[in-house]
Amino acid sequence: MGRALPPLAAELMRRCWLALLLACVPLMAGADSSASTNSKAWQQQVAAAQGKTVYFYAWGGSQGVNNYLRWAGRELRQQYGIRLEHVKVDDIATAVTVVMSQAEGAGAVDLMWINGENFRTLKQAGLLRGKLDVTIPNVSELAFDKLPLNSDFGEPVEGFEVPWGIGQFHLLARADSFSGEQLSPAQLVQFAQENPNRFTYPAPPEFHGTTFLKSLLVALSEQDSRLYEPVTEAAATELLPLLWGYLDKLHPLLWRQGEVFAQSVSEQQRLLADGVLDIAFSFNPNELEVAAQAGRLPANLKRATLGAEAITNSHYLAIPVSAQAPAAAEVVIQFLVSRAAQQQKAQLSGWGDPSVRRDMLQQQQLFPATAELHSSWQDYLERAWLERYQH
Amino acid sequence: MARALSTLTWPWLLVLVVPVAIGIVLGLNGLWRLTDWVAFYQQPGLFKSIGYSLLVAIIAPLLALYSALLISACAQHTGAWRRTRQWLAPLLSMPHVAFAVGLLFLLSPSGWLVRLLQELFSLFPQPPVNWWPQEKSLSLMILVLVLKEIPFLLFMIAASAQQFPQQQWQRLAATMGYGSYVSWWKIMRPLLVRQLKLPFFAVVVYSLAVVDIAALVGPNTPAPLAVEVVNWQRSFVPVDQSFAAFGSFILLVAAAFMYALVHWHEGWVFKGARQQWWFMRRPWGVLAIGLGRLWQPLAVVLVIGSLAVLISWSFSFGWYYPALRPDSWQVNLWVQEWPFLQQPLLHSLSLALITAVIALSLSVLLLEHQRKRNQQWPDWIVLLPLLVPQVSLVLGWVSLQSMLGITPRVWSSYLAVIIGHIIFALPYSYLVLASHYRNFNQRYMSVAATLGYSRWQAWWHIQWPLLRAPLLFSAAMAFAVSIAQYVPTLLLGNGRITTLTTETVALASGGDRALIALYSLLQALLPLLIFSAVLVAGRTRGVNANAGN
Repeated sequence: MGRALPPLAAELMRRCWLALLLACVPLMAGADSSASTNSKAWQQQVAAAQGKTVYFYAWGGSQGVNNYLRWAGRELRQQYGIRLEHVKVDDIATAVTVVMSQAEGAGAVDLMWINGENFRTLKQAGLLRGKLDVTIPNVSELAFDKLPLNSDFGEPVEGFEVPWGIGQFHLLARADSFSGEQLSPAQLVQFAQENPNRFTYPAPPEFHGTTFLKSLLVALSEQDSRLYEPVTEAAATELLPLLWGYLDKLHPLLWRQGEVFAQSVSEQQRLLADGVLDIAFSFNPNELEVAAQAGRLPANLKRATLGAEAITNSHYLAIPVSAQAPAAAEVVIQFLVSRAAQQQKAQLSGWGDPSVRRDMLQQQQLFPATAELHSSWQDYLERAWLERYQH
Repeated sequence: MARALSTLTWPWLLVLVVPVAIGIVLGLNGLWRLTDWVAFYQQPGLFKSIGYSLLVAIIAPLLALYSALLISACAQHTGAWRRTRQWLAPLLSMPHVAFAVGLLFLLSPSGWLVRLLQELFSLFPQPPVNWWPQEKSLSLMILVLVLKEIPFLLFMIAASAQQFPQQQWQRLAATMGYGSYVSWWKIMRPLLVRQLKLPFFAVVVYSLAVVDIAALVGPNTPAPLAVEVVNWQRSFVPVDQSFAAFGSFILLVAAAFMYALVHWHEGWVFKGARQQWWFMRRPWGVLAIGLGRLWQPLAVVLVIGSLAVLISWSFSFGWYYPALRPDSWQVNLWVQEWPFLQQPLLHSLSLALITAVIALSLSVLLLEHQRKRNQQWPDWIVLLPLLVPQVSLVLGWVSLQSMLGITPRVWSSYLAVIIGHIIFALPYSYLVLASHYRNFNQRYMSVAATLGYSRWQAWWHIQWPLLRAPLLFSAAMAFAVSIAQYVPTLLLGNGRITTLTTETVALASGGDRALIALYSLLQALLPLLIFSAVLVAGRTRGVNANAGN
């Protein structure tokens, strides 16, 4: 990728590259017959998976997700004879530490729901099963050409994980708190000035809190291209003062004057439901409808992006090399990215997570998207924030 | 230390020291990277974080201890012991997090109390900004810990007090002109403080190392050290792993320091026993008795209030400020979850029963062993597993599992979970039992021996009936500790063993309050049954003893 290219051009170039790559997929599939549901190898794999149990480590804090995986478990048992066990964890990092301590083929985890730093850690340690894009037929149906799925927080996916869904950072706010479908950083400060104590954000390094900082930085620097390259001291000393100047102005207006922050986005949403806050965050573009239908958040909310575009990323499925049932786990992935399973996942009465399939993109409404910053900014921002505001 | 260890025979060394040693060596391996200490020292907010931890670990246990003593003194004064004990079981059995969630919804600025004021007087169209207790504050964290630990200490006092001829002492004190309240403070308090030393230290260690409560109701810029340790552990930047090990080490040192403080406190209480303290004089004494009397209504409000919160939430659909009750009620959630509850319920129950039986047996064997050899081991040996942060220990054992080449299966995971639960439950069951066991009058046993009873026959016929209350309570504590385990169950169980607690903690990381309430209720149910049973058993004995007098 050209160093001086603005992000849009870089994105376009990546897309052209992708298109080229995708054009090759049928050829590759022809050469390597395993990437088709009809291929003998795949059918053997499916047959061998029968009767296997797949232990799927995934965050278990959402009723929508848990119920969806119960549904998937029933379907998998009927269609493939596979037992799917959802191991509910409070933080997938726990599962990552387990994977790092277990030997090949003798581990506890068969499949995990992962992205970002957790993925990078396991991939770089060589602990993930590769070539998932070649072995699992349905991966060719995913919208690698339309959505930024190839890079997970700057780490190339390269077949070590399979996209499962889309996240878009946005705000949920009481309908009367501001007008419009976008909120610029300046408007947010104005809101806070008019309504002191009614806004806070999850303390970085919490994921949503860090993304809030990133969104601000993108908007305040007018999408400076250096944000999409590895962080340098020069870039940081030039760009970060924009953010600190902004936050110094914002913090005294926050809930509890910024002495404490929300612990997590769940807590932030709870404070919204409890009338303490007027604004909370979400990564699920359908959270507004989903939470209202589940009775979790009041119905009189609206959503808006912070700045003109929503930072967009995806979450993935990966198989550790220590998995005891890796082949069966691949069959589970095949099912989870099938049309039926992705449609069920997108239902607003359940999870409401947008699909990553090419043939479903038109039915879903997403926010205007902007790419993630280069992953090195994540750690840099978190540390700098802690240094500045935690003392 | 070497001398302390040399008194242990090797089987006990294996049971008590080796697991912890393995956990420390494998789980805290970042400790030896000395160069990272400099960077650690410069971590933003480190000293504030350590300060928070120390403050909580000193204030909360002391407040809890003296409240419990005060309440007992009043109960003794007014003869209301039985009523005081009635409400202990539900408070004891409620898991800490469930209790905190309940309390938060009762008292927080957006809680039921404020909503009631809004409903009645329209005072707060929005939750008030200036309110006590404020969410996410040190004072709320201390309040939660104090209220949760008072019942534990009261229970321990109730069990201890039975061993002393209180009524005789009081009659004696009365002849010297002391009222029952003052004589209780002068005579019973020092004895109880000595008896409660270990349970009190357990409360101190818990307050120092607690993660879930601190994350829920404590401050977070920075958070208390134990929470920061978990945050470092969950980050995969290599230097953060070292920081986690350093943080654990500091907690360990802090625990040792606290042990010295507890020891010093005991000596101080004994030395000062003869003095006339301000709280024994009028009008403070009268005021203190009044305050002690508040416990009874407070306990009732806490039990009923937090249960009402959990039950209401589990049947609620849509519940937003300032509504006093949900938009609508539903049974859907219970119907939907019911089929998925059986396995976790069965796992929780079976693990807790096995753990309780084995932990109690081990505690008795340990204490018998010491008695037979006429030794008293330093208590920290038994407390070791509580002193090292749990995640580090458990990760060490997980590495050991794979180093031994054990491939996770369902049965091997179940076994590993049982071992893990026993390791963490044994210190509590031992703590509850130790001082009662050591103070047991051995002359009974000598008499039995002269009558031709073997040691274990005598134990069964004499010691067991006399020590039934502490023995049962010791098992109940092990049961409750087993029920509450999250990290050992998840990691040693390799995800094969789901319990009510693994489900609840995972859910609690999200925002589904109705579901969290439902699972928290169920999580509290099993310990509630056990503690109620133990209280009933203990009470029967009390009645008999009184009848015998």
